Amino acid sequence: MKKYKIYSLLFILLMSFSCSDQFRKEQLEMAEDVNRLTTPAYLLSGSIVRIANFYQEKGVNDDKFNAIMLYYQQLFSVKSQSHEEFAKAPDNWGTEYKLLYDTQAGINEAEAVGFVSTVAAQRILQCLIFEYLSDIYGDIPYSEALNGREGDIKPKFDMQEDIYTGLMKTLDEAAITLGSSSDELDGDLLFGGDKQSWIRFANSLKIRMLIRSYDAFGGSKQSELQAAANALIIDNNDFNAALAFEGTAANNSWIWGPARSGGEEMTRRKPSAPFLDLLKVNSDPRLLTWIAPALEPWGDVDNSYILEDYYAYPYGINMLDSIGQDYGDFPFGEAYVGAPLTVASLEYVYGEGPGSGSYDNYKLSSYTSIFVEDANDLLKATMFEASEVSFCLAEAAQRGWITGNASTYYEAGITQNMERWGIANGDILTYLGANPLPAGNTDALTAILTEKWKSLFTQGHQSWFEYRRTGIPTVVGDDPDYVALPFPSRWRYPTYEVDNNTENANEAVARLGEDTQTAKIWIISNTTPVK
Amino acid sequence: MLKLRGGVAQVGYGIPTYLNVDNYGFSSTWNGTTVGTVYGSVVNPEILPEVNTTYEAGIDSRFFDSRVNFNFTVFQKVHANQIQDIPIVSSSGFSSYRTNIGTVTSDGIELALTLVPVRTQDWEWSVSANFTKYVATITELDPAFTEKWIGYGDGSMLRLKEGEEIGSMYAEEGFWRVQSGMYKGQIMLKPDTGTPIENDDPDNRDYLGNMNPEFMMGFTTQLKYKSFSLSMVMSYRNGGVYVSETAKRMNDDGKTPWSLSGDGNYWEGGRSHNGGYAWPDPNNVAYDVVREYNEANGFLNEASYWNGVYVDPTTDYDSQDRNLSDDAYVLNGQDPNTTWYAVVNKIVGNTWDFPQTRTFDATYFKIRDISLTYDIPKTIAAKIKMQAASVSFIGRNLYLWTKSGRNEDPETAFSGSGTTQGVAHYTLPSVRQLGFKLNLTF
Repeated sequence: MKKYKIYSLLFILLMSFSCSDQFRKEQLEMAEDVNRLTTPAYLLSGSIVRIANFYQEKGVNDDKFNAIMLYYQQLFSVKSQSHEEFAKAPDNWGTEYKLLYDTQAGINEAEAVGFVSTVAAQRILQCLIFEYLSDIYGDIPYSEALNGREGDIKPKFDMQEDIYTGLMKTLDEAAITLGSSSDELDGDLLFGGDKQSWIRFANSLKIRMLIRSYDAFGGSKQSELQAAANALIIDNNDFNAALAFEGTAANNSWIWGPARSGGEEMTRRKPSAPFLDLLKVNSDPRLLTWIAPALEPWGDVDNSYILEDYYAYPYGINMLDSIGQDYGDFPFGEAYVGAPLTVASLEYVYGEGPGSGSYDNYKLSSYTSIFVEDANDLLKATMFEASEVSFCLAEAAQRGWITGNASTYYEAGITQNMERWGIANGDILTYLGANPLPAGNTDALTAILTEKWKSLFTQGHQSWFEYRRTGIPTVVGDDPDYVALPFPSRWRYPTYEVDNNTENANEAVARLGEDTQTAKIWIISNTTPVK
Repeated sequence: MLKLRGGVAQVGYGIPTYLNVDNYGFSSTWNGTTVGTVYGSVVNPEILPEVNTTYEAGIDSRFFDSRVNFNFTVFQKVHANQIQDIPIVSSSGFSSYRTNIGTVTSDGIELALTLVPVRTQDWEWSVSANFTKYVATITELDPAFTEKWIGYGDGSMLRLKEGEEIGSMYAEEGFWRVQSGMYKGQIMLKPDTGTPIENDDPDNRDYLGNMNPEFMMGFTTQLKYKSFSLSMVMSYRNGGVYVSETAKRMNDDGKTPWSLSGDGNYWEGGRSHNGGYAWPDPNNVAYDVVREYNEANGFLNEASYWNGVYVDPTTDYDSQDRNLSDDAYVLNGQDPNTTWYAVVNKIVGNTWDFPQTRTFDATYFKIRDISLTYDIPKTIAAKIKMQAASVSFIGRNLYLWTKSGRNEDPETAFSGSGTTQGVAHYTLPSVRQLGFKLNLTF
């Protein structure tokens, strides 16, 4: 408090000097006006950079999206997608709501000077994060959120149905504004000021939300979905909402790049066996782009001395024994070896790594070296890609929610995703020829959603949101962790919010039943799995 | 001479303007474009100035040619409308909220006594002592924050609550204890490891004590003979507790005697304790879960175990039920065949989350300073062009007694400022200094 008094005193002194200088005050006011006109642009670039980075980081790094969706397994002693891990409530959602407030501050500033296009762009970004949070938790603070300045420090939790309705309305309004406004869109790192691209982003986001909530709304949004499908959408990789990394410093480099993570984030995540095996079985050309052979594979089956070597590791064989692993299952002679799901402590058990101090396992396949570059053309901070829209529409067409040819959308989705990963045209055509959309509704939906799962690699959150609804790919639910217990389909509310906004949180929990990781939130309350 | 005095003083202060608005900055560039950032905290729109009111009454007295001086003060400080940043939920868009959190009232007394028992031409001996005691309490609190827990150092917490005495500390995780019957108060252990049941139930937080002293005393004495003077400064602190994070780290690293032998309160035994406990014969272990666990621990000859009870694993009772009948509980350590054993360092590791195991009485007595000074006669000083000169032998931090009996200076838990008061964070103890001092006045 002592310090405080001194500060107040200083402030009073400063005021009394500066206020007498009328001329300087006017100068300051002029400078302030100039700032007011440039601030909205800086706040937009800030929102784009922070939200794109946040979104991409969650999409590739968060175990509760990516390990559970079997893109990888962590080399940890505890399985990161286990029920115990999901049973732990996160501490806080401060990062997410700060991102949301940043967009709100940008909206307020832009509105004050009448930059309607900037307002619209910020609103689209805000919708993306609200949708993300609501998809994870269900009911969240929305209509009263971000209102602390007005003294509203304990916002109520809105029902997810109302949040979805509100967000889609906001997206519609943003698209209309962007289509009719004539002001400049400054600070637009994402699309270089191209308003049409923002409209495509808004409409594509709406398609995602309409597909995801189609059953929850009881099918009542069919005409809206049809209209969105006919509107301007991200139907080409050129329109992807993706921000290229600069790669010159930690905060502008790819998530797993050495500048940002020291490189270890990648080596301790190993492509899981079901994901790798599926790519291998289908001769998917993306296998070679994404996944590298094991550094020291198990060698030839005849070289049984490797097993003898292995006996020398004190932890290894003992733990294999205790879980009854059959040595015959070891992938002798295989260069592409995915991480098995049944084994904990993968850093010791199923091979060997560089030793203490870092996580790796040379007997398992890794991601390719593009994932440890600070910047690579194939890796951008991505919020939305063309292939996701195509797979949404393929599913909608297949289910009869919209008119159109499911096979066309399905092939477009595969093509767009493969092009996005730099696969040669000939390879794409070969793959399409070998993997046409099957006949029969269930088989067709399964194929569409399995391809979607592959295409959402590095967008793991979307993958998990979709699996909860569709149950495809079924291999996710076969993870031994979820056979006895229901699949973890949401996160528990953050403890900090529950402890300090208790009344409102309790109201939301009462609507939900109980705050567990398996409670059914509104959006998945009315769905039946494809299989 | 006797003087009575009394006074009321009031100081108020507010907050600067422009606090309740967003601030913008530039964090960096991204591919050449400047990236803006948003800062800003939020202020209660109805915030009031903070007001500090002090009521004070006292007696100053002086007798026998100032050879007895006595001062007495009783005071009350009312710190109303305290302005503080309180953490709020991020869904508000912000992380903290500046508001009038409430009122803290401190009541206290101060006593000071100076005696000069001897004063002759050559000799003078003076003694002085002072005594301070105060209690600060939250007497009013914004209802929005009724009973709010605030994380503090090393697993401890503070509580914002009306009527709460300032300085009270609680363990975030209380031990889960039996509530009734002959085992009432015993720590309950987990039925699969024999270690304490973890919980962060706010109703079960263990009270650690108050970090503030019951009272503090200081003593100084000075004996003068001609040009020589001998003086001494001592201090005494009575009461209050501190949490020793230092002890946590040292226990965990195996650098304390406690990490070998336990203390009887929480856990027993170690390899140096009575030569170590012998592991029981696996064939005699009563419960399968206990045998399997002990087997997995290797039946090493370094057994130790938690003092506590666990619910008999052969029954269907909820293993966390604190109100079962006596026969449903098994007392760990009573019978080697029903005891969950673990190696010593594992048990020590279990204490990591429990500051209860390292909360100590902060009572201490210190001799801070002794000095012997010789004033060089002015005539000699004048010869070397000095007005005055003296030479002293000084000793600092010469003696420390602690009630806890630990080789740790409780003051290290209070030497910092801000949030670490009451928690010792590996602060180095004060250093004993011995030396000579030459004082010259030009």
